[in-house]
Amino acid sequence: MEDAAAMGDALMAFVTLQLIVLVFTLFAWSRTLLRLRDHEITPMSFILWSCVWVGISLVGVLAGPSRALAEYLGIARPVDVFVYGSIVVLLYMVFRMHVRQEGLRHETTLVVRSLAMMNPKRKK
Amino acid sequence: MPRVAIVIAALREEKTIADVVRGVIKAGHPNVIVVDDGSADRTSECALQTGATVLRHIINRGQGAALKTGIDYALDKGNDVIVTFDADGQHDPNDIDAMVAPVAAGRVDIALGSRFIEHGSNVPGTRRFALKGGALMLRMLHGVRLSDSHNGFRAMSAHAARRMELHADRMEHASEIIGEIGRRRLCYCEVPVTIRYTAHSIKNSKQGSMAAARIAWKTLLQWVMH
Repeated sequence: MEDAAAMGDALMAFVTLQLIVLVFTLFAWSRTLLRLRDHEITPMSFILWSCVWVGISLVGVLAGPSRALAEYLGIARPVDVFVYGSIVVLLYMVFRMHVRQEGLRHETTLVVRSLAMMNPKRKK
Repeated sequence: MPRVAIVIAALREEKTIADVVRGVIKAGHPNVIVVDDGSADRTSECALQTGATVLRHIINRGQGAALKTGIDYALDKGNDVIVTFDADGQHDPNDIDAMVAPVAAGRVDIALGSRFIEHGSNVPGTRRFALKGGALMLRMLHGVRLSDSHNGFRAMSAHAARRMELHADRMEHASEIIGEIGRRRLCYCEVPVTIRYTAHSIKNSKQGSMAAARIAWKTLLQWVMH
Protein backbone atom coordinates (compact mmCIF):
# COMPACT_ATOMS: atom_id res chain seq x y z
CA MET A 1 0.00 0.00 0.00
CA GLU A 2 2.82 2.39 0.94
CA ASP A 3 4.63 1.38 -2.22
CA ALA A 4 1.59 2.32 -4.28
CA ALA A 5 1.34 5.71 -2.55
CA ALA A 6 5.04 6.37 -3.12
CA MET A 7 4.69 5.44 -6.78
CA GLY A 8 1.70 7.76 -7.05
CA ASP A 9 3.70 10.64 -5.57
CA ALA A 10 6.61 9.95 -7.88
CA LEU A 11 4.27 9.84 -10.86
CA MET A 12 2.67 13.10 -9.77
CA ALA A 13 6.07 14.75 -9.42
CA PHE A 14 7.09 13.49 -12.84
CA VAL A 15 3.90 14.74 -14.47
CA THR A 16 4.40 18.12 -12.76
CA LEU A 17 7.96 18.31 -14.09
CA GLN A 18 6.74 17.42 -17.57
CA LEU A 19 4.13 20.17 -17.36
CA ILE A 20 6.69 22.73 -16.20
CA VAL A 21 9.02 21.81 -19.07
CA LEU A 22 6.17 21.91 -21.57
CA VAL A 23 4.82 25.25 -20.35
CA PHE A 24 8.29 26.80 -20.34
CA THR A 25 9.19 25.60 -23.82
CA LEU A 26 5.80 26.76 -25.16
CA PHE A 27 6.45 30.16 -23.58
CA ALA A 28 9.94 30.28 -25.08
CA TRP A 29 8.66 29.23 -28.52
CA SER A 30 5.88 31.86 -28.40
CA ARG A 31 8.56 34.51 -27.66
CA THR A 32 10.55 33.20 -30.61
CA LEU A 33 7.52 33.45 -32.90
CA LEU A 34 6.75 36.99 -31.71
CA ARG A 35 10.34 38.09 -32.34
CA LEU A 36 10.07 36.68 -35.85
CA ARG A 37 6.78 38.50 -36.50
CA ASP A 38 8.48 41.73 -35.43
CA HIS A 39 11.34 40.97 -37.85
CA GLU A 40 13.76 40.96 -34.92
CA ILE A 41 15.18 37.55 -35.84
CA THR A 42 15.66 35.90 -39.22
CA PRO A 43 13.60 32.92 -40.40
CA MET A 44 16.74 30.79 -40.11
CA SER A 45 17.14 31.75 -36.45
CA PHE A 46 13.49 30.97 -35.87
CA ILE A 47 13.95 27.46 -37.26
CA LEU A 48 17.07 26.87 -35.18
CA TRP A 49 15.52 28.06 -31.94
CA SER A 50 12.29 26.16 -32.63
CA CYS A 51 14.40 23.01 -32.94
CA VAL A 52 15.99 23.77 -29.56
CA TRP A 53 12.63 24.27 -27.82
CA VAL A 54 10.99 21.28 -29.49
CA GLY A 55 13.99 19.14 -28.58
CA ILE A 56 13.82 20.18 -24.93
CA SER A 57 10.07 19.59 -24.74
CA LEU A 58 10.42 16.14 -26.36
CA VAL A 59 13.13 15.13 -23.90
CA GLY A 60 11.00 16.45 -21.04
CA VAL A 61 7.69 14.95 -22.10
CA LEU A 62 8.63 11.61 -23.66
CA ALA A 63 9.54 9.73 -20.51
CA GLY A 64 10.56 6.38 -21.99
CA PRO A 65 13.17 7.48 -24.51
CA SER A 66 14.42 10.20 -22.13
CA ARG A 67 14.89 7.72 -19.32
CA ALA A 68 16.69 5.33 -21.61
CA LEU A 69 18.93 8.19 -22.73
CA ALA A 70 19.52 9.28 -19.12
CA GLU A 71 20.45 5.75 -18.11
CA TYR A 72 22.72 5.47 -21.11
CA LEU A 73 24.43 8.72 -20.11
CA GLY A 74 24.55 7.71 -16.44
CA ILE A 75 22.31 10.50 -15.08
CA ALA A 76 20.56 9.52 -11.90
CA ARG A 77 20.91 12.17 -9.15
CA PRO A 78 17.98 14.52 -8.45
CA VAL A 79 20.35 17.48 -8.23
CA ASP A 80 20.99 17.01 -11.92
CA VAL A 81 17.47 18.28 -12.58
CA PHE A 82 18.63 21.71 -11.41
CA VAL A 83 21.73 21.49 -13.55
CA TYR A 84 19.69 20.71 -16.62
CA GLY A 85 17.12 23.31 -15.67
CA SER A 86 19.93 25.84 -15.50
CA ILE A 87 21.08 24.81 -18.96
CA VAL A 88 17.58 25.42 -20.32
CA VAL A 89 17.46 28.85 -18.68
CA LEU A 90 20.91 29.65 -20.08
CA LEU A 91 19.76 28.60 -23.52
CA TYR A 92 16.83 30.99 -23.22
CA MET A 93 19.19 33.78 -22.21
CA VAL A 94 21.35 33.02 -25.24
CA PHE A 95 18.20 33.29 -27.34
CA ARG A 96 17.43 36.69 -25.81
CA MET A 97 20.95 37.85 -26.65
CA HIS A 98 20.55 36.53 -30.17
CA VAL A 99 17.33 38.52 -30.59
CA ARG A 100 19.10 41.62 -29.32
CA GLN A 101 21.92 41.03 -31.80
CA GLU A 102 19.47 40.69 -34.71
CA GLY A 103 17.76 43.87 -33.56
CA LEU A 104 21.09 45.68 -33.49
CA ARG A 105 21.87 44.41 -36.98
CA HIS A 106 18.56 45.78 -38.26
CA GLU A 107 19.08 49.09 -36.47
CA THR A 108 22.59 49.30 -37.89
CA THR A 109 21.14 49.05 -41.38
CA LEU A 110 18.66 51.83 -40.59
CA VAL A 111 21.43 54.09 -39.26
CA VAL A 112 23.69 53.35 -42.23
CA ARG A 113 20.77 54.07 -44.59
CA SER A 114 19.94 57.35 -42.86
CA LEU A 115 23.57 58.50 -43.05
CA ALA A 116 23.74 57.56 -46.73
CA MET A 117 20.53 59.41 -47.55
CA MET A 118 21.61 62.50 -45.62
CA ASN A 119 24.84 62.78 -47.60
CA PRO A 120 24.11 62.28 -51.27
CA LYS A 121 27.07 63.18 -53.47
CA ARG A 122 27.00 64.49 -57.00
CA LYS A 123 29.69 65.85 -59.28
CA LYS A 124 29.48 69.64 -59.48
CA MET B 1 6.47 62.42 -68.64
CA PRO B 2 7.04 60.34 -65.51
CA ARG B 3 10.22 60.91 -63.53
CA VAL B 4 12.35 57.78 -63.76
CA ALA B 5 15.19 56.93 -61.36
CA ILE B 6 17.67 54.14 -62.02
CA VAL B 7 18.92 52.59 -58.76
CA ILE B 8 22.19 50.65 -58.88
CA ALA B 9 23.56 48.85 -55.82
CA ALA B 10 27.31 48.44 -56.13
CA LEU B 11 29.92 46.60 -54.11
CA ARG B 12 33.55 46.61 -55.26
CA GLU B 13 32.60 47.53 -58.83
CA GLU B 14 35.29 50.09 -59.65
CA LYS B 15 36.05 48.29 -62.90
CA THR B 16 32.53 48.33 -64.29
CA ILE B 17 30.43 50.99 -62.54
CA ALA B 18 31.51 53.96 -64.68
CA ASP B 19 30.72 52.16 -67.95
CA VAL B 20 27.41 50.92 -66.56
CA VAL B 21 26.30 54.42 -65.45
CA ARG B 22 27.45 56.01 -68.73
CA GLY B 23 25.51 53.37 -70.63
CA VAL B 24 22.35 54.13 -68.67
CA ILE B 25 22.73 57.89 -69.18
CA LYS B 26 23.40 57.36 -72.89
CA ALA B 27 20.20 55.32 -73.10
CA GLY B 28 18.32 58.47 -72.05
CA HIS B 29 18.10 58.08 -68.29
CA PRO B 30 20.29 60.68 -66.56
CA ASN B 31 18.70 60.25 -63.12
CA VAL B 32 21.01 57.50 -61.84
CA ILE B 33 21.36 56.71 -58.12
CA VAL B 34 24.34 54.54 -57.23
CA VAL B 35 24.40 53.07 -53.72
CA ASP B 36 27.93 52.06 -52.80
CA ASP B 37 27.48 49.33 -50.21
CA GLY B 38 30.66 49.98 -48.23
CA SER B 39 33.16 49.20 -50.97
CA ALA B 40 36.83 49.40 -50.00
CA ASP B 41 37.83 50.27 -53.58
CA ARG B 42 37.08 53.37 -55.71
CA THR B 43 33.49 52.46 -56.61
CA SER B 44 32.06 55.72 -55.21
CA GLU B 45 34.64 57.92 -56.95
CA CYS B 46 34.20 56.13 -60.28
CA ALA B 47 30.41 56.50 -60.08
CA LEU B 48 30.70 60.18 -59.11
CA GLN B 49 32.80 60.97 -62.19
CA THR B 50 29.96 59.85 -64.43
CA GLY B 51 27.42 62.31 -63.02
CA ALA B 52 25.40 59.85 -60.95
CA THR B 53 24.07 60.67 -57.50
CA VAL B 54 26.08 58.53 -55.09
CA LEU B 55 24.86 57.36 -51.70
CA ARG B 56 27.43 55.54 -49.62
CA HIS B 57 26.85 52.95 -46.92
CA ILE B 58 29.70 53.49 -44.48
CA ILE B 59 29.75 49.73 -43.83
CA ASN B 60 28.53 46.82 -45.94
CA ARG B 61 24.87 45.93 -45.31
CA GLY B 62 24.08 43.71 -48.29
CA GLN B 63 22.55 44.12 -51.73
CA GLY B 64 18.97 44.14 -50.46
CA ALA B 65 19.75 46.90 -47.94
CA ALA B 66 21.55 48.94 -50.61
CA LEU B 67 18.65 48.70 -53.06
CA LYS B 68 16.21 49.69 -50.33
CA THR B 69 18.36 52.74 -49.59
CA GLY B 70 18.28 53.71 -53.26
CA ILE B 71 14.55 53.09 -53.57
CA ASP B 72 13.79 55.15 -50.44
CA TYR B 73 15.95 58.00 -51.74
CA ALA B 74 14.25 57.88 -55.14
CA LEU B 75 10.85 58.03 -53.44
CA ASP B 76 11.97 60.98 -51.31
CA LYS B 77 12.95 62.83 -54.47
CA GLY B 78 9.51 62.38 -55.96
CA ASN B 79 10.29 59.92 -58.74
CA ASP B 80 7.35 58.16 -60.35
CA VAL B 81 9.10 55.04 -61.64
CA ILE B 82 12.08 53.32 -60.02
CA VAL B 83 14.26 50.90 -61.95
CA THR B 84 16.71 48.52 -60.23
CA PHE B 85 19.71 47.73 -62.37
CA ASP B 86 22.83 45.60 -61.76
CA ALA B 87 26.26 47.18 -61.38
CA ASP B 88 28.28 44.39 -62.95
CA GLY B 89 27.39 45.16 -66.55
CA GLN B 90 25.17 42.18 -67.23
CA HIS B 91 22.07 44.26 -67.97
CA ASP B 92 21.56 46.14 -71.22
CA PRO B 93 20.64 49.85 -70.69
CA ASN B 94 18.75 49.78 -73.99
CA ASP B 95 16.15 47.54 -72.30
CA ILE B 96 15.24 50.23 -69.73
CA ASP B 97 12.63 51.95 -71.92
CA ALA B 98 10.81 48.68 -72.53
CA MET B 99 10.85 47.98 -68.78
CA VAL B 100 9.55 51.43 -67.85
CA ALA B 101 6.81 51.63 -70.52
CA PRO B 102 4.14 49.34 -68.96
CA VAL B 103 4.66 50.92 -65.52
CA ALA B 104 4.62 54.50 -66.80
CA ALA B 105 1.46 53.75 -68.76
CA GLY B 106 -0.18 52.47 -65.57
CA ARG B 107 -0.79 49.00 -67.02
CA VAL B 108 1.17 47.30 -64.22
CA ASP B 109 2.63 48.15 -60.80
CA ILE B 110 5.90 46.39 -61.46
CA ALA B 111 7.70 45.04 -64.52
CA LEU B 112 10.20 42.22 -64.05
CA GLY B 113 12.98 41.46 -66.49
CA SER B 114 13.13 37.96 -67.96
CA ARG B 115 16.11 36.47 -69.77
CA PHE B 116 14.01 33.55 -70.99
CA ILE B 117 11.57 35.49 -73.16
CA GLU B 118 13.18 35.89 -76.60
CA HIS B 119 16.73 35.70 -75.21
CA GLY B 120 16.72 32.22 -73.70
CA SER B 121 19.51 30.77 -75.77
CA ASN B 122 22.44 32.54 -74.08
CA VAL B 123 21.70 31.24 -70.57
CA PRO B 124 24.20 28.60 -69.41
CA GLY B 125 22.66 25.14 -68.79
CA THR B 126 23.11 24.84 -65.03
CA ARG B 127 22.03 28.44 -64.54
CA ARG B 128 18.91 27.85 -66.63
CA PHE B 129 18.03 24.81 -64.52
CA ALA B 130 18.47 26.72 -61.23
CA LEU B 131 16.47 29.75 -62.43
CA LYS B 132 13.62 27.66 -63.82
CA GLY B 133 13.50 25.66 -60.59
CA GLY B 134 13.44 28.90 -58.64
CA ALA B 135 10.60 30.23 -60.79
CA LEU B 136 8.58 27.08 -60.14
CA MET B 137 9.19 27.41 -56.41
CA LEU B 138 8.14 31.08 -56.37
CA ARG B 139 4.99 30.20 -58.25
CA MET B 140 4.09 27.51 -55.73
CA LEU B 141 4.93 29.67 -52.71
CA HIS B 142 3.61 33.08 -53.76
CA GLY B 143 1.33 32.41 -56.72
CA VAL B 144 3.45 34.67 -58.92
CA ARG B 145 3.94 33.13 -62.33
CA LEU B 146 7.36 34.00 -63.78
CA SER B 147 9.71 32.59 -66.37
CA ASP B 148 12.80 33.98 -64.60
CA SER B 149 13.26 33.74 -60.85
CA HIS B 150 16.21 35.93 -59.97
CA ASN B 151 16.56 38.88 -62.28
CA GLY B 152 17.68 42.14 -60.68
CA PHE B 153 16.27 44.21 -63.54
CA ARG B 154 12.92 45.63 -62.40
CA ALA B 155 10.79 48.72 -62.88
CA MET B 156 8.24 49.65 -60.24
CA SER B 157 5.82 52.48 -59.70
CA ALA B 158 6.34 54.73 -56.68
CA HIS B 159 3.01 53.44 -55.37
CA ALA B 160 4.21 49.81 -55.54
CA ALA B 161 7.57 50.70 -53.98
CA ARG B 162 5.80 52.31 -51.04
CA ARG B 163 3.47 49.36 -50.56
CA MET B 164 6.17 46.70 -50.48
CA GLU B 165 7.64 45.98 -47.04
CA LEU B 166 11.23 44.98 -47.67
CA HIS B 167 13.35 43.75 -44.77
CA ALA B 168 15.89 41.36 -46.30
CA ASP B 169 19.35 42.92 -46.27
CA ARG B 170 21.13 40.34 -48.38
CA MET B 171 20.59 38.37 -51.58
CA GLU B 172 17.20 36.96 -50.59
CA HIS B 173 15.67 40.40 -51.17
CA ALA B 174 14.89 39.33 -54.75
CA SER B 175 12.62 36.55 -53.54
CA GLU B 176 11.19 38.89 -50.92
CA ILE B 177 10.09 41.29 -53.68
CA ILE B 178 8.32 38.44 -55.49
CA GLY B 179 6.67 37.48 -52.21
CA GLU B 180 5.48 41.06 -51.72
CA ILE B 181 4.03 41.13 -55.25
CA GLY B 182 1.98 38.06 -54.37
CA ARG B 183 1.02 39.21 -50.90
CA ARG B 184 0.00 42.76 -51.91
CA ARG B 185 -1.60 41.50 -55.11
CA LEU B 186 0.42 43.93 -57.20
CA CYS B 187 -0.15 43.86 -60.92
CA TYR B 188 3.00 42.65 -62.70
CA CYS B 189 4.34 41.65 -66.08
CA GLU B 190 7.54 40.23 -67.50
CA VAL B 191 9.58 42.06 -70.09
CA PRO B 192 12.28 40.38 -72.21
CA VAL B 193 15.77 41.59 -71.32
CA THR B 194 19.26 40.65 -72.43
CA ILE B 195 21.69 39.29 -69.86
CA ARG B 196 25.36 39.45 -70.78
CA TYR B 197 27.27 36.67 -69.04
CA THR B 198 30.86 37.63 -68.43
CA ALA B 199 33.40 36.08 -66.08
CA HIS B 200 33.15 39.23 -63.95
CA SER B 201 29.36 39.22 -63.73
CA ILE B 202 29.22 35.53 -62.89
CA LYS B 203 31.82 35.91 -60.16
CA ASN B 204 30.36 39.10 -58.70
CA SER B 205 26.72 38.15 -58.65
CA LYS B 206 27.47 34.84 -56.90
CA GLN B 207 25.66 32.89 -59.53
CA GLY B 208 27.04 29.56 -58.41
CA SER B 209 24.73 26.71 -57.65
CA MET B 210 25.50 26.94 -53.92
CA ALA B 211 24.32 30.56 -53.87
CA ALA B 212 21.15 29.56 -55.72
CA ALA B 213 20.53 26.77 -53.23
CA ARG B 214 21.05 29.14 -50.31
CA ILE B 215 18.62 31.68 -51.78
CA ALA B 216 16.05 28.91 -52.42
CA TRP B 217 16.38 27.77 -48.81
CA LYS B 218 15.91 31.30 -47.45
CA THR B 219 12.95 31.86 -49.78
CA LEU B 220 11.32 28.73 -48.45
CA LEU B 221 11.90 29.87 -44.86
CA GLN B 222 10.44 33.31 -45.60
CA TRP B 223 7.34 31.67 -47.01
CA VAL B 224 6.96 29.39 -43.98
CA MET B 225 7.12 32.42 -41.71
CA HIS B 226 4.39 34.45 -43.43
